[in-house]
Amino acid sequence: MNRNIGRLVPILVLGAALAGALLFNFQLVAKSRSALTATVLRNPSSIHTARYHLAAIIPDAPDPFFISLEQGLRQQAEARDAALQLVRYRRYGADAGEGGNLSSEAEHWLGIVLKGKPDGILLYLPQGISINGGLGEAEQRGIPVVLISPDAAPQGAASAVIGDSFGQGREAASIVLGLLGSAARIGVILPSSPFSALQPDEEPFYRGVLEAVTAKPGSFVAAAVREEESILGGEQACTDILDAHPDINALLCADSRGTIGAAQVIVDRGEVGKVVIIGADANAEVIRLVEKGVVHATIVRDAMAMGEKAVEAVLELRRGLSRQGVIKVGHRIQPSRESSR
Amino acid sequence: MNTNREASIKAFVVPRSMRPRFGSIGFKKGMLKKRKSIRTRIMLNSVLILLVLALATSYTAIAAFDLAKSVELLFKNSADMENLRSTLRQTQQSLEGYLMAKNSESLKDFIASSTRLSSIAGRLNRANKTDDIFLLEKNLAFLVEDYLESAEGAVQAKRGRDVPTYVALHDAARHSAEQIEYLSAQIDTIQLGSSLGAFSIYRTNIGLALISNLVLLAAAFLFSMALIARYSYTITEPLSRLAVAAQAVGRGEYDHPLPPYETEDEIGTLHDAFIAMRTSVKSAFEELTRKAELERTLMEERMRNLTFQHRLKDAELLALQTQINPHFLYNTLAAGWQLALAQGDEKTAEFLEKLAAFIRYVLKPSTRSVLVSEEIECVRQYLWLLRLRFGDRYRFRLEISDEALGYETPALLLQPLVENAIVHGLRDIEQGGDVIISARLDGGMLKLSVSDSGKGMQEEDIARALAAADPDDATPQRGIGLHNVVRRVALATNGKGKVDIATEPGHGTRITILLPAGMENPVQIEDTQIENKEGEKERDKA
Repeated sequence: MNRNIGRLVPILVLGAALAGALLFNFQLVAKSRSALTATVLRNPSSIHTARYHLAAIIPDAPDPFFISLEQGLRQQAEARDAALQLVRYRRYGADAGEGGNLSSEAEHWLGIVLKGKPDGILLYLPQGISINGGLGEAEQRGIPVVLISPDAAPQGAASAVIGDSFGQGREAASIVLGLLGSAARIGVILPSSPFSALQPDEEPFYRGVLEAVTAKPGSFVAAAVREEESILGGEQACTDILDAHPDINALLCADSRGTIGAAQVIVDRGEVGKVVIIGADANAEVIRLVEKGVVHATIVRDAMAMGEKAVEAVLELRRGLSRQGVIKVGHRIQPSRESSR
Repeated sequence: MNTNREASIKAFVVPRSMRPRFGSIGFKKGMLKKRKSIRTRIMLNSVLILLVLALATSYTAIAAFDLAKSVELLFKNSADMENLRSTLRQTQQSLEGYLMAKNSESLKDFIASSTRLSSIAGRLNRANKTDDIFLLEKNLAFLVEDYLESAEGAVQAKRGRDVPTYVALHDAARHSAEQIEYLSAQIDTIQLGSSLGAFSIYRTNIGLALISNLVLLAAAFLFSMALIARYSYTITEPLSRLAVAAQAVGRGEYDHPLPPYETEDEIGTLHDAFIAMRTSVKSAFEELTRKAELERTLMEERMRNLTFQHRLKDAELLALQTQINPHFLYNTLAAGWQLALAQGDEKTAEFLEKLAAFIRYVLKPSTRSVLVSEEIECVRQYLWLLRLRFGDRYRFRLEISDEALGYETPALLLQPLVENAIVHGLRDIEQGGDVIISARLDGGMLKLSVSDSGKGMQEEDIARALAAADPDDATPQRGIGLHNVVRRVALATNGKGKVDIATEPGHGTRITILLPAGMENPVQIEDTQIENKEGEKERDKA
């Protein structure tokens, strides 16, 4: 009996190897085929035809804010049976909105999608950028447009979904003041902007910080710097501000890149715990830093909700049900474990 | 004859209980019916391996076909976009030519190219597909529509000599043309980018798939080899065991161990058939052995019967002789006795009278039983005759207990012993000797004895004589007297009586007969002998 089983073992092993190799082969070939069928060989009849066609024009930036925004747009579009055409434009560059206008690439895409007869357009407008004749042409063609902005509603927008950068700044400063009180020496790291003429006090985030600090005598904002448009813009800004103001004991960041850069610099300098960092938004790295206590807390802008509400608003406009006006989306605070205790 | 044949056939038929698996494997109805036959299993396994390889190869081939189709489609899409751009340029060129020169050739060109452009745009997607490329195509289609609308409007305005309108529409058409160029280039780029991504994934996976195909081939090869080895063993191992068992059967070892073979296949059928055959052969052999044994026993019985018949013939012959001679001898002696009386020779008459009486006693069947007194009387007569012959050379003494006289004893036990004492014990002794005959009861046994003072007996003679007590004894005897006595004592008492012989060379022999006192029917007398006895009584009366 045992001898018989012993003789069967190699057959079973080789049979399993054969079946395994076949399955592995199938899996690999299936992956190869699906890669082709999902792109070049896609069959139009197998692709869902949606009820609506929405075009969303947003900056091409690997920022968690935009990632969440895109996620919200897509989820809501799918839920509302809308085909979402997501057009990304370069936020920065030689012609990137210099002079306060939308970048020519974005303008170009706006002109194209306007002629493409969509059921609605969702356009992200950064702080300080205005839009030229696009809104009028859209109105002329009967295409509803909803603007998305992190701060105040752009001028002339009939409908907009905005964030609360002012409230975000004030919240960040309040947390620091709660920790350090009147001894707070605050440095502010603002996001990069295509509009170089934009002053810090024109940023709602900065104004929110100032409002909170003014209410606490003795504390003050030592400096505010703007990130350069590069991967290491956050590190550079933090280094600059700390070098210029060594007495700073709190850093308030307006976006995730500034948060991660500031945390790296503080860790490298061995000043974790000495300099309180209040971050912004939440991706895996920011959450890790918050959990490790390097970043005291992060104020997460609810970009996904902004995307969802923007889709809802544009479809409401499309159906002529109402004029949505300005929809404000708030934020939440994710504290570190220590601070939560 | 037929009965014998049927019996021999039956002997070779294996009982149903001895072939338990034949019914279960369907030996009678379709020995190779739907079972897991080795051939089927080998074929199934081969087909399975081939199927696996065919599947893998086919699937890889389909993937390769997909790749070719993708490349073709990619080129076609790119060509379509290039065609669209080229047609757009021709349209724009002919439009501008017409707007500048207003010649009919340019108008014709415009109409032709704008028609082609419209046709190309008509093939583009206009539905709200949830796919980026298709949505871009939709943008493109409406852009072309917008362009053609502006261009045609400009032509109409040119015809109407409405300069501001056709200038404005021409600008709008040119702007749309730029957007079309940009969008089609973007579509090309996006399509190429996504295709390159897909091709990259394809290349990575298909490379691994080719490696896995090689692994698959190797695994299939090894698997086939393992299966071949397995089936070789499956086929040859039980066959070799069967061969060993068959050799054992050849040597007559019908119980040679043969491990069970459980699988229902051709080998299993062969295995079962062999076991059934071995059982049949074994049964047949046992039957033959039993018959041979029976025949041997029968032959022995027959030989024994022949021996008995032979002895019976001798006995019958002897009986006939003994029936003739005694009458002749007795009648002669009776005649002699009458003659002696007639001549007044009383001594001779007495001699003949006693001799006749003795002979009459002796000639009666020796298998009868008589009273001890009769036996003693016979001995007395014999002793009278001996004294007449030998005078006082031998001295006889009778030591008879009265209480023994009334018991029965087989006839003629003492006379042969007395005769032996004279003939063998005392004859060579010149001065003669003593013979003592005794009869008495001893502890419930009747003890008869004859002792002499002769030369004694040899041990081998004693053993040979005493061997007669065994009914199967066929030892040749030199003298039949003692042997006869021993045999008759054994037969008459059914082995309860016995004969003791005590001897001392040169000092004599004592032969003692021990009989159970009060024997019932100690002697079985045959009918013929009874008839003889009745005849003798009649003669005695006469």
